[in-house]
Amino acid sequence: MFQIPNPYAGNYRLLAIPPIVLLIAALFFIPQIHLGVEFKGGTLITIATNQESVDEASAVSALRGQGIEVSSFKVYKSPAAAYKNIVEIEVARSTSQINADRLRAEFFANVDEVSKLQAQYQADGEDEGRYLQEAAKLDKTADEVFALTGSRLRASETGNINVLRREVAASLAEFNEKQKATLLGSVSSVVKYDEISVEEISASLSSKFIEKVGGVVLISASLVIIVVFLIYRTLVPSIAVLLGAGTDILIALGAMGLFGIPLTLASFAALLMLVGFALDTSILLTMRVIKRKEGTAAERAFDATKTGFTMGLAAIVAFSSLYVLSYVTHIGVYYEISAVALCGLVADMFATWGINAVIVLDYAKKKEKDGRMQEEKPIFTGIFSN
Amino acid sequence: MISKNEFIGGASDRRVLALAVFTLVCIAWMALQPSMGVPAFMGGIVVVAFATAFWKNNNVKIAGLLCIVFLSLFSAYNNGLKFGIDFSGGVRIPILLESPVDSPTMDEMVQIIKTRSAAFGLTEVKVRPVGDSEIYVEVPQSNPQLVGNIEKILSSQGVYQGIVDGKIAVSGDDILPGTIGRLSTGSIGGADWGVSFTITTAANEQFSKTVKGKANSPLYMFLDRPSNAIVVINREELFYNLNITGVKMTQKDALAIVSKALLLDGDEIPVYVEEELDANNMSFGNLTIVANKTKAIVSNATSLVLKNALKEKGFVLVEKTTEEMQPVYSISSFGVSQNSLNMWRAIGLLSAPRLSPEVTKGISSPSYSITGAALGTGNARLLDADKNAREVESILKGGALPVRITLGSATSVPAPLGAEFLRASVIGAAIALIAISLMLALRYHTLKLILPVVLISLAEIIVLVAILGSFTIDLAGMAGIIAAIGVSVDAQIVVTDELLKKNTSESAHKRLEKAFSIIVTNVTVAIIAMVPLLLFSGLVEIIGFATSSILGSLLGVFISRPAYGAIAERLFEN
Repeated sequence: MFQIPNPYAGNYRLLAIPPIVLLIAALFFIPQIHLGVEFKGGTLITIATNQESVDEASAVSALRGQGIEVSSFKVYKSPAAAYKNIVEIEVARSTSQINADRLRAEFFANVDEVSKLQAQYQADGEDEGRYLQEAAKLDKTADEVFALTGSRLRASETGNINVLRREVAASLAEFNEKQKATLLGSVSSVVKYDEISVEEISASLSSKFIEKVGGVVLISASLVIIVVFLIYRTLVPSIAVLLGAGTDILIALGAMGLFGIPLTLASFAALLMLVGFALDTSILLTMRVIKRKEGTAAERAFDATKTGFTMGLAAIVAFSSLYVLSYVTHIGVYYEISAVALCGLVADMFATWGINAVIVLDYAKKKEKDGRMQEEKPIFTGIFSN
Repeated sequence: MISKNEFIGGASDRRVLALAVFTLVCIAWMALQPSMGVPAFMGGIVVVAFATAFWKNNNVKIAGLLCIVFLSLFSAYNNGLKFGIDFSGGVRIPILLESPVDSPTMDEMVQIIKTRSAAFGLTEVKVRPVGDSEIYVEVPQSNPQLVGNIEKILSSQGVYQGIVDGKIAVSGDDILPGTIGRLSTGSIGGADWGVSFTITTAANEQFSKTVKGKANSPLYMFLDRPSNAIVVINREELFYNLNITGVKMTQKDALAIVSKALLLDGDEIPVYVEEELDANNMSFGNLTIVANKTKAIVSNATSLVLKNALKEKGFVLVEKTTEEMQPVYSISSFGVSQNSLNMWRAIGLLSAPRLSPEVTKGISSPSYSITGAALGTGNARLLDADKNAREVESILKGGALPVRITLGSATSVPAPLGAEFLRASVIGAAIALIAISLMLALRYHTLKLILPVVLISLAEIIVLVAILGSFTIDLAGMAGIIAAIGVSVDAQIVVTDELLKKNTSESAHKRLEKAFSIIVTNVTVAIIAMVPLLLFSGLVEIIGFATSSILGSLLGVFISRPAYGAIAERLFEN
């Protein structure tokens, strides 16, 4: 087989340099990650067309000429024979749409409260000031809605909170439909379409996505930290494992910024999977180096590297297939998952075998000198072992 | 290698036989009871997995893997594989709930959405809850018009009317929306459930005037009561619920009860008995039929001849199911004149509580409550009370959904594109498997190791596809399956490397144990990183990926790795 000299036999600390350089570079690129439409809101229009060719530059300028904020415009050959081309257009949400989103959220957050205050005021005349104040505020929001949507109604004319609620909902819905119709009209003047799909992410939806993703990150991170500490019950190996995984994710994020891979729900899922994978290789290394006795620590680290690289390569091969598949089908989900996974898997080779290995080797050597190596004690293996 | 005798010896092991018999029973169950196909499949897998983990025997491990593969293949054949609209084509609209809900509320939401879709003629709509705060609405056709319709259906509210003695006592607009709420058991006297609400002062005057002196009269609560309509009912439907409860009544009496509920000044709904209508010579008295406007509510059991005759007369036909056409009576113990109708879905009559004497004495406070009794005993009674209260709440809110919703982004996939996606994805998965086999061949230079690795990976993919396909395989799920090919092989690599080690005196068995300790730790951590996405996020867009990753890991630990270990141990002993 390949006769590679053991890099951990000599001055292994130098191995930490490449991942640290990558990490610094990543920190520079992370702010350049652009958010997918799920997180920043907007409209994603996908068109299947039988038009022979679509001229990107003229289409974009024609759309912009009609006041449409096009943030991206992609044309590619349709993978299915039924159509010639697929066009993907991303449009940012207009100011009036953003306003409508905000007003909708504001109105519906308050309407029930106002009706409760009204009931209370009716019953005992109490809290009149607060009721009138809140009702006036609600009317103001409603009037803003009517003004924005071009309705001639005024909140004071409706006289009844249910009617007001219905009118507000109706005029917002009508406004949305009009906006969409205008947008589709403009698009069809540029590209003739046979099939169209419009994906609209409102501000409230995107903030809901962000909120949920944030929650998942928080829970996942805490759980992983707790479990890693439970497994090792010693500080240095735990920190080494977490540091390795953390570096991996940061480098992967940097690569997303560098290569323009958007942060979407799919790429977020891929990042979570990477956490698992990065921990896998780190755990393999740490277990082999710290909890075993055969040969020297450096030899064990080298052995673990061989296994780890084979593992990484297998995963890289699978995700490369997915990546190629995403090129053939232009499925965004495939592209985002595979691209992020590939970046992360490569980063993991540097992070685990550079940073993590250095810390663990240092620790093992010190322990060996102290003569206090611990025996391997499996924790979760009870029912699975032979 | 394994000799014939050993093979027979292994197969005749009682535990192996038990697993084989169990598998056959599961397969028979799936085949004989298609409705139980998926539960039988899942149950079978879980039992085999635990048995394999519990018996810790090499023969059993391999047999367990084989059993699960057979179960999966049969399930894929028998139960079929379901694909999301990404692969089958169609439109999907995610609906986000404002706050997480419990499962009865979720069922209620799904039911309301289904009913409303059906009312708009969208019969093929699939409505399914995802987690506790999201609902998917999927239509197997792509059409922007349709999406608009669904949005309308979901945002539209029903119109509530409370009618007493042919007069509107209270209407939906009068009810202050924030005040509709459940009463606690302490404040409803002897009743099982109660819902309170407040109406506006102006409406309260009207209400008090309308109900004055009408103690114990029913308040007919309608949701979307049809106006300008007639009902044509057949005798079987008219008497259905009376017969069930064993109440004897003449047709005249039954019709009298029904008619009372249909009264409304200026917009009465006349009711006709199908058997008495002569298709050739129909007479509707002094009813003026406005062409294309006057509705005839008929049962879908109504004869075609009559339906055509009604159409000819100028009616617009509104068909209801037989079940909706059956009136539900409330038979009073205070005499025939007190009998009333409690529910009749065909015309939107959903409930009819009786007015308590206190509210019929003149102007009272504008806060009201509706209380009622429930059926059954113990827990069943509590559940029934809960169901009734929910229903009344929902009626008062105009049939609105119990929780505020945000419509998510509609995604549509043209069917030919979806089919192409699926074909390409299957090829992609095959290429991934072949590429990994080649890579392993280069790395280990030995076929005797690679064959089991590849076969076990293949087995795992089959099981994964069968399990996910019992629910739905979407894009994210498919990506997860392809990823699982790469990640699942990892553990086999750990085992192989451990066994291939030369500079150790330990037995293969001991080394396998070490490899498993690493693998189990790995899988635990990998699952823990993914589980929050699966359980707490409700992000359906990517839940498929989390599911396939986690399932892949679990299958690995419970089934394929032990089997690979058993095979590899044998290979290295020789």
